[in-house]
Amino acid sequence: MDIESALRISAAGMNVQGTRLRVVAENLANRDSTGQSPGADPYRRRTVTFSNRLDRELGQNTVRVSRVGTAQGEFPLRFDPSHPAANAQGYVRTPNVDSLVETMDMREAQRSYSANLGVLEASRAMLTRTIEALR
Amino acid sequence: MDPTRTGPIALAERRLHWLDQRQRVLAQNMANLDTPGYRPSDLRPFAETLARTQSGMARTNAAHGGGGQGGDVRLDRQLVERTPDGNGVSLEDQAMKVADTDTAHTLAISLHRRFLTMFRTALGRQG
Repeated sequence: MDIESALRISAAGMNVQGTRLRVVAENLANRDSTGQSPGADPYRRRTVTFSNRLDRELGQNTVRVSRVGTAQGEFPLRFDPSHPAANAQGYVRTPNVDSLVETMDMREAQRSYSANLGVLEASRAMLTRTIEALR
Repeated sequence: MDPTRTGPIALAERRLHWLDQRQRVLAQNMANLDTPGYRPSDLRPFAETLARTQSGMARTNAAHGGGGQGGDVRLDRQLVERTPDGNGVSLEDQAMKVADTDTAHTLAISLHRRFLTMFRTALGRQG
């Protein structure tokens, strides 16, 4: 049934946005996770990518998280000679997490989540009205 | 004559079926709001679907034809915007379509009910 598929597809959309929010939370939480010894890598920012894939159970294309990868990019340096991960010059490599970028990502995930919720509500209203017609 | 197979009731039923399918397609677009390279799709307009099936051969069996299951889904040609990752879903555009579908669904369901009520009144039953 189409309406039921619509409900499930919207749920899948909300699900992937939830994963995205989880990754944003992970990145923000690890904003200051540096290495423990000189030369050790700090936390590397993680990213989510989505893809449009066939759900065999549903027989429809839905959306899935295709990969949670790591972001490339330089680690910013911070001068802190007393830090355990400081190099010979006294610089510590810090995670490549930019809180502005993360906040923007979070906002976008929220926006997409509400959009899917809106479709879900519309579909549910349609389904309810169809059931009401039986009375 | 079976009144549910002809006239406004049958038309309302087909319209409801078309709206159900459209809602599924729109949900798909909305779910892929952030999928790189995804292009939104939509159904062929209802009037076109109707004209195509009516001008063709007469339907002798309810199991025949019926516009084809999902065969009328096509890619949206007039893209409002396209992001650098190739995604062409416009949130506002899709939200408008969802609202349209919702309103049309209410209309079709009410029409269907009114006509059934008419038959029931003619048969001498209440409401």
